[in-house]
Amino acid sequence: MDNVQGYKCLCCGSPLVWYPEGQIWKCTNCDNTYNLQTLQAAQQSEQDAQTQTDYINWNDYNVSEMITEMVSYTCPSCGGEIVVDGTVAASRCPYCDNVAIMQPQVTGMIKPDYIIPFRLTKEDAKAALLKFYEGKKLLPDRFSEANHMDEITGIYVPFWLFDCQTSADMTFDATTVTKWRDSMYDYTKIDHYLLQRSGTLRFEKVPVDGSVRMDDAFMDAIEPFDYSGMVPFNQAYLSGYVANKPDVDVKNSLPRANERVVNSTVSAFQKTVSGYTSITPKSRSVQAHEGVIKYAMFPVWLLTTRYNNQVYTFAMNGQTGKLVGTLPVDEGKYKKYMFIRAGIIVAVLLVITMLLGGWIL
Amino acid sequence: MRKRLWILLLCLTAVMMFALTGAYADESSSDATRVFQENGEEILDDAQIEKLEARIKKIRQEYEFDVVIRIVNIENLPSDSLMVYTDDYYDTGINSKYHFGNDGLLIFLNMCDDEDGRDYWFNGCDKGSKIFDNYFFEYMENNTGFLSNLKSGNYYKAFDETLDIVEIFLEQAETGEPYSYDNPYKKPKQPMSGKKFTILALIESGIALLFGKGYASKLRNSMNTAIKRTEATEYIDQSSFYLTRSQDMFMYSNTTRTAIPTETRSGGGGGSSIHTSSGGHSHSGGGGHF
Repeated sequence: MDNVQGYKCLCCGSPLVWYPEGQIWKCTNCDNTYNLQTLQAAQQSEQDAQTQTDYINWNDYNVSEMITEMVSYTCPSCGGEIVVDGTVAASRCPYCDNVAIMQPQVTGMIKPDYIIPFRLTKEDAKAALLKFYEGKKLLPDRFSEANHMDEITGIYVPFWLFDCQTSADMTFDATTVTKWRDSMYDYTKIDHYLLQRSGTLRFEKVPVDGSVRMDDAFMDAIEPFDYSGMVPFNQAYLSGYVANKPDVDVKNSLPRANERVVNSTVSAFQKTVSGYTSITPKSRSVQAHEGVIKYAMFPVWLLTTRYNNQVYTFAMNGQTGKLVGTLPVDEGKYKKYMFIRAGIIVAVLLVITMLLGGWIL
Repeated sequence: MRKRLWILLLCLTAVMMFALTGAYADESSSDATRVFQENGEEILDDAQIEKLEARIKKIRQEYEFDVVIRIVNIENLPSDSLMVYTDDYYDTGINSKYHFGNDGLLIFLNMCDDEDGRDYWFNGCDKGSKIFDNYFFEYMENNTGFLSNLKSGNYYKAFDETLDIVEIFLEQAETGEPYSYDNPYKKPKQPMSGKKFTILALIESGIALLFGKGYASKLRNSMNTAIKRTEATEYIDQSSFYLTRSQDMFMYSNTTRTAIPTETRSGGGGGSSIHTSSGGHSHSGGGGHF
């Protein structure tokens, strides 16, 4: 017990004392011992927790080519803009179901790098919607009985695709808990660990929709698209469908791409930690450099209908058939199911209470 | 002759009067006080004393068994001398004007709040020493509200409920198999009171309503499948995941210990083996503090 060092006990904060015999630092208060590597690692992780940040850098997206001679329709009601190649005429807004005549204008748009052609038809979309209704106990009877769609539109939705290689440094605080007892005491021993993980991970074509009119929740929910069906863009695929012009530029799409990349990286590294009672992320740094951005159009069937003067929209992945949306709720059915379930539970509880309380038998 | 007849009649009348007086005297001894509050203690009011006396009288008539309640406030009455003290008190009572029955149970309270707290003591005499033994004392301490009632000042309730148990033990003793550790008393299950049932029913209805609302909310949530995502797990090239460092480093341990609560007799008293008092009666005894 010779030299007093500047380190403090990680457990209780008391000053540590150097023990030459064991070549360790020891806490005279709680008896924990440390070697130099442990103390330096703890110190480093504390500093990292203070200073480390995520940094993701993307290359600029350079527009290679423009598609010209497209016909643009802008909805006078919601402002939504669609473009067609002249083979179809838009008579109704697919976003807000407005039937006001949309004045066509000749326009152009950025030529996408890729396109996933429609694989499923309008009839497939109708069938998918009927299946979507199944098992929805709160669906108003009138809604499903009416069973008509005001508009079913096949739309190519613009997506920005983000490719990047991430590198990550992460530390976690973890604990294991051991319990035992003797004749006089219950003991609880908590072992604390510092876990360090570093590595790399590559993301391929993380999609972020580039359309203001398309709800992010809808576009996220119909993912994933099967990229094996993705081909270089050819304007001929637009024939018979409408397209949505990209009105969210790359810069405005970056925060969503970064969020998804960082969260997935953290999640992937956290999955490499196991066997502990508790795991708490302590510090992290996710880095990506020279990420590549591409632009693609993905097929989406947009179905809209009106019920009680409200527009209900459903979106179906035109490639995989995954359909999402928000259905109306019959408040009467909601209360019915709530009270039926509550009634069953209260009946069971009352019978048990009467049995235990000596009211029955 | 006529005069003699008158004398005989007077004598008979005198004998009858004497007999009647004697009978009255016996009855009055059986009606004698059995609830004593001394040294200025008035933890029971007159009405409560009257009710307890009536109950004791009924027990005496039904089981030929005496019960005495004595409440005192005596300083310097050590807890470890309560056995002898109560033995002597009961034995003296047998031969006093109160004519305590040989077979009886004394319930004794010393309200003097010394270092150990106030004391209670049960003392069984003769037949009472066999019926009211260690098993009874522990039962009273652990399975009834006797101590809690004493602690909270519900003295009448403590005595009244004790008399209930005394009657139950006496009734069982008449079968020849008194309650004991080998033949424990199993309290008959009382049907739940209507008030308690109503409260429970209300609580259960609330719980059921919460579950019902939870179920209906789950159904409502299933109506919306358009949910924004914050991860991109599907777009990870799994073959690209490469860990360059994976180190789990032990830092320190922290051990805490908690004392295991031990079962202690709340009364803190003891002693109950059957013994013979200086008065020649067999006694049992047990008690503690409150």
